[in-house]
Amino acid sequence: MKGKRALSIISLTLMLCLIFTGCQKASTDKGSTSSQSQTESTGKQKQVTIRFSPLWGVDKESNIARERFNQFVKENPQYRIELEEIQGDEQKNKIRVDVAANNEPDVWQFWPGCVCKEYAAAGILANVDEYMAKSKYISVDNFSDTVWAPCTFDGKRLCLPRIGASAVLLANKSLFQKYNLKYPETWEEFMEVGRVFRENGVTPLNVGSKLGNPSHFWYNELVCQYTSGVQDVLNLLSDDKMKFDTEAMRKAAKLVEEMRNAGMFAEDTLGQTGDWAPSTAYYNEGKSAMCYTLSWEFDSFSEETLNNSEIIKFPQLPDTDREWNHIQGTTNDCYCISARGWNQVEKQEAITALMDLLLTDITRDLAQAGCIITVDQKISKEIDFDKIETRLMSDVLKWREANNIQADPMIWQSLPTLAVQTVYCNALDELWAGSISADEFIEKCQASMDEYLASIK
Amino acid sequence: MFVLNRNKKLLFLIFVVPTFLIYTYYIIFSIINTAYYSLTEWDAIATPVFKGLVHYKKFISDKDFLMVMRNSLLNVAISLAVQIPCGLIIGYLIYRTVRGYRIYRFLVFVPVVMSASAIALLFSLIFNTEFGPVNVLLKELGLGNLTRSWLSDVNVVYYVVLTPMTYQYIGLYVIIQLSGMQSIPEEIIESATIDGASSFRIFWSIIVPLQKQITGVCAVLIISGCFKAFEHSYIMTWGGPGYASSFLGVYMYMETFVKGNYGKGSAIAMIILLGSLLFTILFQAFFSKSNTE
Repeated sequence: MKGKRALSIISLTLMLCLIFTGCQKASTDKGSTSSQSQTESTGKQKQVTIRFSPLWGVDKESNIARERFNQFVKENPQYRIELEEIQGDEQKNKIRVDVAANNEPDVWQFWPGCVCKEYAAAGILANVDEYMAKSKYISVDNFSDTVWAPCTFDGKRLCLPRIGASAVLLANKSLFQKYNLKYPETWEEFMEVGRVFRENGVTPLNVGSKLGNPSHFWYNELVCQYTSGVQDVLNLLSDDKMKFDTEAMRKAAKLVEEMRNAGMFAEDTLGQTGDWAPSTAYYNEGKSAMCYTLSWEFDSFSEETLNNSEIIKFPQLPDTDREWNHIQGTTNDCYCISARGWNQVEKQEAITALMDLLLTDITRDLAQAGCIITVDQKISKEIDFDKIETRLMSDVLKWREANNIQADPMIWQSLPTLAVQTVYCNALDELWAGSISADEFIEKCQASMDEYLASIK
Repeated sequence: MFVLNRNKKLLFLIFVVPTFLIYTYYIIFSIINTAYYSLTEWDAIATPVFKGLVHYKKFISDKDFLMVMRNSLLNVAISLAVQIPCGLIIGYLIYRTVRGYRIYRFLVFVPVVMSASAIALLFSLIFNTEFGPVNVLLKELGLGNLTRSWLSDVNVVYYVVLTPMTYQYIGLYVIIQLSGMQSIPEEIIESATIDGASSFRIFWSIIVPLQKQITGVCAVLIISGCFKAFEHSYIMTWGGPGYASSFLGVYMYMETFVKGNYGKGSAIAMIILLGSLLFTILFQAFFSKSNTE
């Protein structure tokens, strides 16, 4: 009996000790990762801790950035930068949950436009003019007004543009030669070559749709063939003017429906060609005659594929009222600085140093390596297109310069909220899969927009 | 005696209270919190705005929600119709196997312990339109007209996603049923055998009636599992195209973490909880009544 009692007391004591130790460690950790900076005395220097969440994975771009970052950390022991690496759309979840817990990082990589809009409205984002006032390298003039536009909310610049994007349409030379086809320049020619390819068991185009990727860019290309379409996209940025059910949007949806019915896409637009990597791989494997993709995929093409590919113009619709030299490509992502973090004066120097690194040395390295298209006008002039390591990036940038290609605005980015954006992307999946008609697609997107407009009244 | 009871009460308090507090905080408090957020409009960034039952009212006319609800209820029906009989039959076969029953038991249980994500990925490759074995086999058998875009054809995608979900957990119910069968006194089976009953007769007239309680437990597990179904649908098709292959779990994830509608997502979570509870109570009542009779 006494033995049992003693055992109970010992077990209880151990349990309580473990609990208290765990709680103490947790509260210490929370202190170091909370928005209060932790200054540790490292003997002679006081170290400032900040948190940085980039979209880094295991690709070439991330490796280059990480290498530069590690070098910076070694050279600047007065800063302790805690990395919270995450990939893809999971970043949206992470930041939202962090903000809900009042525990957002001090700096994070994000997407401008509607993704940042809610954070801007809630005062989560620092005004980057304050950072630029402290920075020796970055000022407003580094970026054009068009580039600043998706980063500006109610006249305030609340995030920093990171990279641009560029679409490209490639044609498989050997397949075109095999069937004696010339590269299409008009829509009719495009549909005709598609018919020939389909009859011979070749998928004409690699564009599929999984949560709107890469379909939303292709749809956007069709919308922006009309001047009214470009204006419709710009109008999405304004609550007073936004409307999805417009003539240009409907026409584009009808064209996608026509393409779907004509077999221009793969049979399984979700499983085979839905999302970036599968659609690129589809073309890489020679399964489609044409490839429409964006700049972050340029590194994924094999040398053999590139030798067998040619950059072609986007096919012009019969009733287009624009010149052909425009394509999707705008500020694609950005860096955000937490207002909470910036307002802690002791952190500002560290944040400024980190941002300078990200927006100068790392951007320059990545642009020269061909991993990104920089939107920084000053850095852009330094890039030697001939020395860009990624061949397709070099070819596309030279092609854009030679043809004075203009960048079109993006629907995805300009939609008012994440909810509307998700409805739009889901509806694109359904349109591509043929489970809804063009009219139903427009109705769904407009209904979602109407719901948003009703909620803000 | 009085001193002994006091000690016991003290020990009870010391060991049970911490667990109770942890359970209350992480489970009960979370449920109450979720119930509160389900009555608000909240994007996890700004302050929640109280809106009452607006989300629940909208569900009645929300086509996407009704489709997802139908998918989940159909999942429950199909899972009950497939997993319980399979659990009983395969369990009985293993029960009656003399040699190697441990190997069969192991093989049947392997899919249960594998990661659902791995199984989902495997099946998405199996059903791949281009190189998936399903389409390849159909073409080889001269049934090329039956080939489909299994993962994007809205007419079949739901059943394609349901397949690995149903298949993976059959083993669990086999083991549960087998455990129940192994507790049946051997004399009953021996008597029936001596009296000339066939294996089927023993199964139908002895095993099935005696397994009612166990079957009830399996039914409850199946129902709660179906309402929480997520991995297979998310990995294979992200619930798409649209919400054609979504279940309540995926719908909740999309609304909450993709669209940022935390209020609506909380309402869906409450529906999952209440739906599971309702079905569990109904089934328990049904099986209890059967036992009494």
